[in-house]
Amino acid sequence: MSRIAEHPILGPLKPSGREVSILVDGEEVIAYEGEMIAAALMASGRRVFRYTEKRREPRGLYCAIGRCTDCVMIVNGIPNVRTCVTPVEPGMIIETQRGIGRWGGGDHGIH
Amino acid sequence: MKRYCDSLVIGGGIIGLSCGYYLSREGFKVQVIDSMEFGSGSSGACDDMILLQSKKPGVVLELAMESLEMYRFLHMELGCDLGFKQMGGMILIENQEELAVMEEFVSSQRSCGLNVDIVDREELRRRQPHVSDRFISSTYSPDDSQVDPFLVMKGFINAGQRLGMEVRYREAAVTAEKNGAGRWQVLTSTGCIVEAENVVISAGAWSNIVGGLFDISIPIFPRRGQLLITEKIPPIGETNLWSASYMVTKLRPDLAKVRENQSEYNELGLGFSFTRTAHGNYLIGSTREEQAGFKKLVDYRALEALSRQVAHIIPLMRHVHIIRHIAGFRPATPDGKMILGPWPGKEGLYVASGHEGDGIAMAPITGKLLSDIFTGRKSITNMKELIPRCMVV
Repeated sequence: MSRIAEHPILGPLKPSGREVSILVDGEEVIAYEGEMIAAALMASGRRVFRYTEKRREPRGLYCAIGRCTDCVMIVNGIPNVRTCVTPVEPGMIIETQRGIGRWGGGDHGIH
Repeated sequence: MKRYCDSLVIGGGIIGLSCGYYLSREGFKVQVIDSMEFGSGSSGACDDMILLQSKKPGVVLELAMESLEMYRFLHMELGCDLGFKQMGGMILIENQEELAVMEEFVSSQRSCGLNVDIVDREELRRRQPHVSDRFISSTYSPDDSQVDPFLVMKGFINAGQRLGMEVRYREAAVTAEKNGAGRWQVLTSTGCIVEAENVVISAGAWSNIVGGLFDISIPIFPRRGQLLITEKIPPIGETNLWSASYMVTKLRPDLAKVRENQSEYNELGLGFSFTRTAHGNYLIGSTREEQAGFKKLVDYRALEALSRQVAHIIPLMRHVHIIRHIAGFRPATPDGKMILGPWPGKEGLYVASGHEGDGIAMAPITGKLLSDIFTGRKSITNMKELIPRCMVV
């Protein structure tokens, strides 16, 4: 895990949520409830969140404020979810998105 | 400066360009002018459907079927891709009352040769797994198709230009009169006079404004529609979708049920259409607004109503982002049929306009019919229902 524990301006940083488990491409990742999905993935060493539609190029966190849509992934079966502004919930199923992605996959809230 | 041609087409949307192309193909020297920019009117603010199922049996359905057959081969004739795709279409039925009306409608369409059927709940689920359980059945036609309107317009322009057609945007007709030889003299906003044997008005929702230059009153008025556009998403179901409630309201107004927010519903003229573009964005429509005039504005009320409607019909859509909201003007006529043919009492003046929501579907057949009238291949007595006629706006 690589997280900033001591920030030069903000001072000591302690995650406020409890530790929960999420599933990323089938692997268990420990995250803090309420932190952004992208933060948990970066902390676990993941940098590639999706592959582009036409040229299949890797993309990851870019603007980190919900504008650029580069960090979208399939979350609980829903494609195009901006992981930098979507908080972690326990048991979330997160998948790398290829192109425009697909509906479903894993346990999801689709009906 | 003065320019000469056989036919001056006023209005460079998909209809004007189709007319221009088919007239050029017959050897006429054609010039097309448009006061605005390529695709700036209704041809660039519409969905992309060649929808047969919404057409009432009769001349409109027959021509739509003929137009679809033309579209199947048009890319070869124009020599470019038109984004033609046949995804089929379904009209969703929510209750027994709607089912009864749609069964009658579908059987009358079938007797006209349209390939359409009513399917049961199981087939509806199979083709459309994300549609809400409240729908009891649906129509299904494999023939409903779509094209990219911009590619079709570009195709007509390029193929027309190879035949000598000239197209000018940002050039408006300002005045029109006849000279001693009986030829039209149309002064344009660039200071040109275009002398033409014939003039074709194909200015869509704006046709009556152009008609004013020729001292005629064309019964065409703008009926605004607002559309939402989603981000690119994976396909939802096999076909494009519509709802029967709108069709039933049109076919049997006495059955129109009382809804919540009835007045808002009436004012917006809400109907449901859901179509996938070639790029994977969905177009969610739409409103039919009578009172908006030429105000090309979108409003929050329509955004809310359209979003609520799509989430009600396809709950999954609550998770999808809307990235644009656009408005356009359907060129509407009082009797719902296009106007095509020579204007009575005005030698050399023709109208090809008033397709309401069917301009994309009807574009090839409209240009073809007009060229048939010009060459005398088609007698206008066979087209009584479409030639310019008296209607009260």
